[in-house]
Amino acid sequence: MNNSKNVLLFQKQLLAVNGEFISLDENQKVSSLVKEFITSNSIKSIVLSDFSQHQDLVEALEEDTEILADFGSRSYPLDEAGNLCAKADAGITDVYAIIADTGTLVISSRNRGDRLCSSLPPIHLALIGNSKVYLNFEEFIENTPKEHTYALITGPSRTADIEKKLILGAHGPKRVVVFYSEGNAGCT
Amino acid sequence: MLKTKVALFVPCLVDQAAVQTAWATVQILERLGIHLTYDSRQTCCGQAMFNAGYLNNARGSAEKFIRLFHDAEYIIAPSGSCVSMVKHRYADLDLSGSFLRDWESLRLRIFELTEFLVDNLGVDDIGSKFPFKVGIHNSCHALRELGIKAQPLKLLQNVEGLTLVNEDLVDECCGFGGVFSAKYPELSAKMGKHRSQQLEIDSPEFITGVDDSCLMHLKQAFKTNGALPGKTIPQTIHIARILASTSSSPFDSESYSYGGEV
Amino acid sequence: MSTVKYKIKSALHDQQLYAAIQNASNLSTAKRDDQILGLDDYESSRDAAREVRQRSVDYSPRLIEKFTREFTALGGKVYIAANASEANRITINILKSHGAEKGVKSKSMVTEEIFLGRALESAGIDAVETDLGEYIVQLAGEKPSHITAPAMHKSRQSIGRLFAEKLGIKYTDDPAELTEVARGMLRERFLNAEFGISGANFLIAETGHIAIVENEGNVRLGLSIPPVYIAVTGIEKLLEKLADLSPLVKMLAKSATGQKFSGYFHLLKPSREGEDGPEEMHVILIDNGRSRAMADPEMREMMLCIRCGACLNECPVYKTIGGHAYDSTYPGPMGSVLSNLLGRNKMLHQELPDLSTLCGACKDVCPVRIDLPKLLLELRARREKPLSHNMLASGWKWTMESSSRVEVAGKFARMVEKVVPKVMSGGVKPGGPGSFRTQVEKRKSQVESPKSKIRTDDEQ
Repeated sequence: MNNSKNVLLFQKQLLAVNGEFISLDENQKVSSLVKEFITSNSIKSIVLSDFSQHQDLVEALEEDTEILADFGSRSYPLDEAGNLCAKADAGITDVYAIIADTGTLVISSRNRGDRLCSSLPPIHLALIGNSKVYLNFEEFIENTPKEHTYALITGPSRTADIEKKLILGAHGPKRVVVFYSEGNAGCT
Repeated sequence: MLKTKVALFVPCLVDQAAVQTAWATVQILERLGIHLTYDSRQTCCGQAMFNAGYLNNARGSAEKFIRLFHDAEYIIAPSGSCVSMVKHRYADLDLSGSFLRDWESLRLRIFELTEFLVDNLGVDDIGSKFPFKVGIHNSCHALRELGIKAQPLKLLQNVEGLTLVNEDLVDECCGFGGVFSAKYPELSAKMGKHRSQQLEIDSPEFITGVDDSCLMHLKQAFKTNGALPGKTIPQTIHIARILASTSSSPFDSESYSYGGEV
Repeated sequence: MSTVKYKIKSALHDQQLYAAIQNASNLSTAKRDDQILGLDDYESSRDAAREVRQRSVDYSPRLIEKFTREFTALGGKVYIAANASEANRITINILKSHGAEKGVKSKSMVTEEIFLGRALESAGIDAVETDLGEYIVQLAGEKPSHITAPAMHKSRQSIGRLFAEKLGIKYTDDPAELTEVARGMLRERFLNAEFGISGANFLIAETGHIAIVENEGNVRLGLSIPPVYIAVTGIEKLLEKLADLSPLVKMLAKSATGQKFSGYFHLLKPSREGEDGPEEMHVILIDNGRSRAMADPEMREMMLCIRCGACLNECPVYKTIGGHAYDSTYPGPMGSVLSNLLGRNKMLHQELPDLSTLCGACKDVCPVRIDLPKLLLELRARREKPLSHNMLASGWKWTMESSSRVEVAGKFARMVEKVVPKVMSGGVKPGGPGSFRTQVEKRKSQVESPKSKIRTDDEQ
């Protein structure tokens, strides 16, 4: 399977569902680009789930940004975790897999904090550098371990319950921003 | 083509309330040199009873229909709704024995008029002339159960002098529904109003279709609601009457049978 | 006048309702068409979706057993409730055992079907609806009028007035502002929720997953924050394996909301050690007439329904009167069938099958090809008929048995045009020239060669 072609398709579909896509070139570090984004969007506080690069990010961000919860460094009781995530301006998670033809992020429950960091803050920053890349839903279902919980997220939270008018940010994030680093994606 | 033998089925509604349609059908088929027969013992396909939930009664009508028509080479009716009843819904009547056997072969030989002309005879121009602006309402049973949409369109496109409008209009029910309109007259009328107003948009002089039941409902809606601002009310007319009109025998809205004679 | 007739009458006189419903259903239809027209594999996807649902209904008991085994092996609990009151009792018992009093609920038609909201309320449990449309109808003290768009009968102005009155905010009718208000109000409720309740679109027997489709993220919050989570759904929602989801989730998103894929799709299992998620997960499977319907050879087809709501958006009757006029949890074509299969009292909704012109638009858009007109007709045939109707029907049959009786009836009908149903009289002028049959026979009897060469039977 041609990964870069799939990532391109993913990007196109993500944009079609009001998501955002930021691509890194080889010399850029994810942490510095996230930092740049956080500064330019006046994000004051963040929460992070427990993923492999969380330490790099914490180090890069902690100087200027308040880190309300870092699920990689400790666990929190459910109610405290919820309150912290609800206060944050943005939540950062990595992504288990992406599905190209629908622009979908697959978040698994294996990382602590993934659910709350990707759903409560108004902005979700999703890192797909290490994600598996699937062409479509069928491929995802076929190849994915069946013992876990997964959430497939396609764009920002949305509603059209009032006169069918599309509004982004019903209960979940109003913005979903995907960070992608070439040459570092896809393990399929 | 000359050898084609056709038994005419005139649905009860057409027989009793839209004689012109039946005569126009006769005229078209005869113009094509078809050997036409009409059995005056025929009555109803049973749809009204079936739709009202009276299966036993409907079965009676169905058996009578099968008895009268099972020998015919082709059975042609100027109605999509009744043809669909015979072709499809008889399956739900628990027919048995010879009725079931006869129906299984009969259902392959019954056709709505425009379907027969275009699909079976391969005719899409029968030398008709109708110098008016015409919009089409595709009746639901013809459209969805028999797949009749292209056939009337093709025929109308080849009518001399006819201007076709409303071609891209979305297909939607007129609100008639047989027993439905009797049980919920107000609701049925409101649906008719909605549909008739859609049909008025392109200012047609006539609205046509393959089923008189729907056309009568629309006629009533046009009459009740009057014209939209800046529009005039179109007349409703069965497609057979358009196709039957020629330069030597032009359309006459007052006539009750073809050629203006009774 | 029946309740349904009464409600139709008032709906027909409500111009605002009519405008809201026409607008919303037309937009829904257009969005659906955008997704579906031009798809070259649409028809084969429908076949695939139907095959999956057919299999799921065929093997239902076995699949329930397998799902229960898988789900409980992970520490979850599964209950089967025979009817509404049993389901409500189970739910309340779970919540009481935790001393839970405040929680959040996501939109679920099954919970509407069993009146769970009312049952929780009388048990002193406060469950707020979190889906925006459901939140609106709950505030208004109404039931949803559509199975996927609960508040589609309301205009933005009426929602604005409702929010101003019930929530004490300054009036606005801007959908974005109203959505933001609801988001803010409900955030508090999510963070303090002691339980979350939702429906479920499908349950996967092979793996023990619960599959839920949504767009707003309220389901996601409801199953991420509270310690106790309960999914309530029908016993017909079991699928054999994960792969069965593929045709269904795609068809559901396209048919329901005109999306290529839903905003959120959850595949849930009881959490494992160290994983995210609620501490306790319960699944309540409701029968409430479903096993009876599955055992009914004609009606079992209705159990294939995936609740997309496309048949409502497309139905010319629904589009004219809206959902409330049906006086049933499930409105529209699917509702007119389903309502007569559920619950104990089969007489309750027997008028609904009449609320259709049998135009077939519902069958045309159904992603699993349910022949709704056929089911509506079957229900009409099964219904007990009043004596007066039976007499009319027998009279019709007697008339139709003979062409001469038809003639007499027809003449009579034309004479008294104004008092007989339109079906016999429309378009005919009193004193008109008689039926086609009489005209043919008259011609035949004329000595001179008739203009038409039409042959009657005995001439052949």
